[in-house]
Amino acid sequence: MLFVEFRFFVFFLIVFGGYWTLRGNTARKWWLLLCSHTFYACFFIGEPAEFLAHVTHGEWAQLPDGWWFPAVLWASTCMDFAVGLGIAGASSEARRKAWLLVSVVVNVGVLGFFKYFNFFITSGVEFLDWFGLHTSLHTLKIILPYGVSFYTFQSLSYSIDVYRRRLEPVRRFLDLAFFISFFPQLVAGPIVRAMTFLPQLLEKRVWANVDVRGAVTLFFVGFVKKACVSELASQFSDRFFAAPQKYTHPAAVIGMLFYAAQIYCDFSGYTDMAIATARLLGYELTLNFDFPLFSRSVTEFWRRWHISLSTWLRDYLYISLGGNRGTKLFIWRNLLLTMLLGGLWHGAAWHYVLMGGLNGLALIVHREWAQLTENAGAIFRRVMAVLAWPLTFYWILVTFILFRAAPTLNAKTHAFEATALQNAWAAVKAISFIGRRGKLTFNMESAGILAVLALLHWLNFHGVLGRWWRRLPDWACAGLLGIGTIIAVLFVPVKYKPFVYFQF
Amino acid sequence: MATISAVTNAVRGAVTATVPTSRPTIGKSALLGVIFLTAVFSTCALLGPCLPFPEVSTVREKIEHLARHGDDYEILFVGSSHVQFQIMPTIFDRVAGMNGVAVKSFNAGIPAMVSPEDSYVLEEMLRRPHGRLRWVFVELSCLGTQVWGENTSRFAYWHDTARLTLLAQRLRREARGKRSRLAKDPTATIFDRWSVWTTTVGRLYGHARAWLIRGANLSRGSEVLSRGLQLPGWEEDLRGSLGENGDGWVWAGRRLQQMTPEMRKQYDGEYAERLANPAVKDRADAVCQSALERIVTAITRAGARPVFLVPPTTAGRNFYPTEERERELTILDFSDVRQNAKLFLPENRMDLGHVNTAGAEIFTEDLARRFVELAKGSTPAP
Repeated sequence: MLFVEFRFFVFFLIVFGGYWTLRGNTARKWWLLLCSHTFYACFFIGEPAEFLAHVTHGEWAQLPDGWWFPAVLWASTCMDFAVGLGIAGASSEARRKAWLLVSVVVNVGVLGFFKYFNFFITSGVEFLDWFGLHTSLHTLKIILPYGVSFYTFQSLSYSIDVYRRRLEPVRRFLDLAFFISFFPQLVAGPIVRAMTFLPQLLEKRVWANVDVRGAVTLFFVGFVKKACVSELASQFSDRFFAAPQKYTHPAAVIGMLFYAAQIYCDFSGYTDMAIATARLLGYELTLNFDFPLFSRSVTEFWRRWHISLSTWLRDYLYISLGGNRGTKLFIWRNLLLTMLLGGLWHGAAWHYVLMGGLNGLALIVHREWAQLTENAGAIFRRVMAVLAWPLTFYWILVTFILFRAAPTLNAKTHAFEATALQNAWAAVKAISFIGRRGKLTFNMESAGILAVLALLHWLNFHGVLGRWWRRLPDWACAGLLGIGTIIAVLFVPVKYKPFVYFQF
Repeated sequence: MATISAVTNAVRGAVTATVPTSRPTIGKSALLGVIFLTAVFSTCALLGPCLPFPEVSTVREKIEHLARHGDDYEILFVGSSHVQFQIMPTIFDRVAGMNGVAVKSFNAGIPAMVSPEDSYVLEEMLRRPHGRLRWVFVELSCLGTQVWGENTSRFAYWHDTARLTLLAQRLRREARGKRSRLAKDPTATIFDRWSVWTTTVGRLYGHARAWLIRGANLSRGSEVLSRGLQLPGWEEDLRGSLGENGDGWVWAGRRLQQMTPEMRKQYDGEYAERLANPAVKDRADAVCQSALERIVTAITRAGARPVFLVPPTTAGRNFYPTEERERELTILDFSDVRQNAKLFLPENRMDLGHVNTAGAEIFTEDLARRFVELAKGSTPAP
């Protein structure tokens, strides 16, 4: 069930009505827990009547793939609940550490098995083949449970925060289960920290404090981003990435800009809708995007892009590795390792690792450059201020190419025509005005669409749209939202592409 | 609206956010809801008529063709692939002309089109110019409540309020029938009853959703944009939808000119069954009959005469009007395997339900001859 689907609106109306009708905080949490698992089940259950019939008749082989996904979610939750209590009750530091180790090993193990097992086996076999050592290792038929990358990180944040004494362990299992499976953030984030969310569970949410107008507006914005802009942009970017070497250099830039718009609107649109949905139920999730495409350095970009992931990596990985302490080489190692693992988190493929590596290198370069130019003259600073944004944006585009890179398969022979990295390199050359230019172009109207999108994003970045919207009376907002909804619906495809981040 | 920065929602919330200072009253919330819904419905109503016909493959091309050339035709053939692949207007016009009835016909058949989609398409076609139209041949089909291709424009575009009402009524009748059968069946379990309920509700939901999609003009703007920007998927395939001659008949393709051995085996079985037990007339229920009456009304209002077709298939049941209406309406039935022996020869078949191109030529000639008898023996509508 996607946030942009009709059935989600029906589902949410029931959830919303039921939630605010219930009086007690515990009853509401049970209700949301039930709804969250219903939401989760919609991803794999198929036809409910058929599913029930198979269960009743014990036809386990007939059940749809992934019927066991909730078991992984529950196992992870139970384990972290026990770990939290274990850490709190441990008599020595060594025991506390042992409990934490259980959580880290199990959570990382779950993620590693489901997401990376086949990747490491395949890579290992290819590596040994390279040296002429032939092995008979086989991959397994593993299905990645929905949201596993997100909820294992949330569970880990809980155990680590309890271990670091920043958080009291929860005494009620319901609270932890609710935190981990809360449906707005369950399958595609944002990665909400236990420290941010668990305190919100202590007291009953108050309807009078819900900013309905703000939440509905945010949902609408997210809906437009995902359902209209991202889907439209994907039609251009798909064409470009199908054969990047065939496009003229300016057309390649247009194709790439559409991809930047697609990926940004896809993911930030999803999190906008997630935050808005949670807000309508009285809960606040973490901000995940803060106009990252206007960043003036790679460091700033990672403070603004997928904030919940980058701060998670910073607080639980980078700092655990030593952070900014130690020699320059040590800090570089920490930065590079954090970004490499961050890249790998995105997907079990080498181009994601390379993407992480390039971002790590860029962070190191920027760190050293900032130190080197700390005392530079005013003119130099002005020149750099002008160049900072285009240079950063270019680098972001290069890393986005690696994010998207996929091999080309011959439709008839099913043989590889080009690897993911070869395609990525062709796209990098095309947007960098290097090498032979192709002949394919996009028409002028497409550049116009990009210009309109860029202008709207710029106006929003400078708060112009927000200020104007806030000045409007409520009745005007309601009317405009009604008109806007129908205009947005005009540009929504009948069938959506899945959210890009669902695959993670 | 005055706002303050406060700790989100509850006392110990960790995140700050902007929250309203005044509690919205129920009355104000209701008023805002009404304004929102009014804006939604009025925008839908205003935008709908301004948009071109939805991008539904074959349907759009045929309707646009009739919008431009509708005044050229005396005859329209409406129905599913039984019409689209099996009636060749060029042959029909030639045979009718040779027998003294000069006409120009157009094949408006759409693959997989059954009731109530057929009545919608027919009404849309009759809304276009049709100055010379005298005869409309419509394939008889019973109201289908199945939900298929849910996420496609093809499923949504015909779901107007009239069609949704018909479907809802039929679903209700179907469910009632199934429930009463289950009540008499001692082996029926609670899951069988549950299955009836979920199927009915699921189908009703699917059709209601399609009605909403149609009403909200979902995706129609992106269709216009895709066409304007020449994005993938907008391409017009006139040869694929209007055929080589531009008369609406489309060749089914080389692969479908003869049956596979497995299909042949199945066909032989069905054929033998029809020889032994001819197809029965299925008069379905009052809802199906009212859907049929809608078609009759639309055609007669347009000044033409309806002729209903039962195509040469090996199906065991064929939808028919009530006995009374059967006597009043013109029905050309080609489903009798003995009377239409040539159409059921294996070399003339594509599959159980369709004839191949050779069979289509025979079928069209037969149809034209029966039409000539009809035309000569009757006074066409004014």
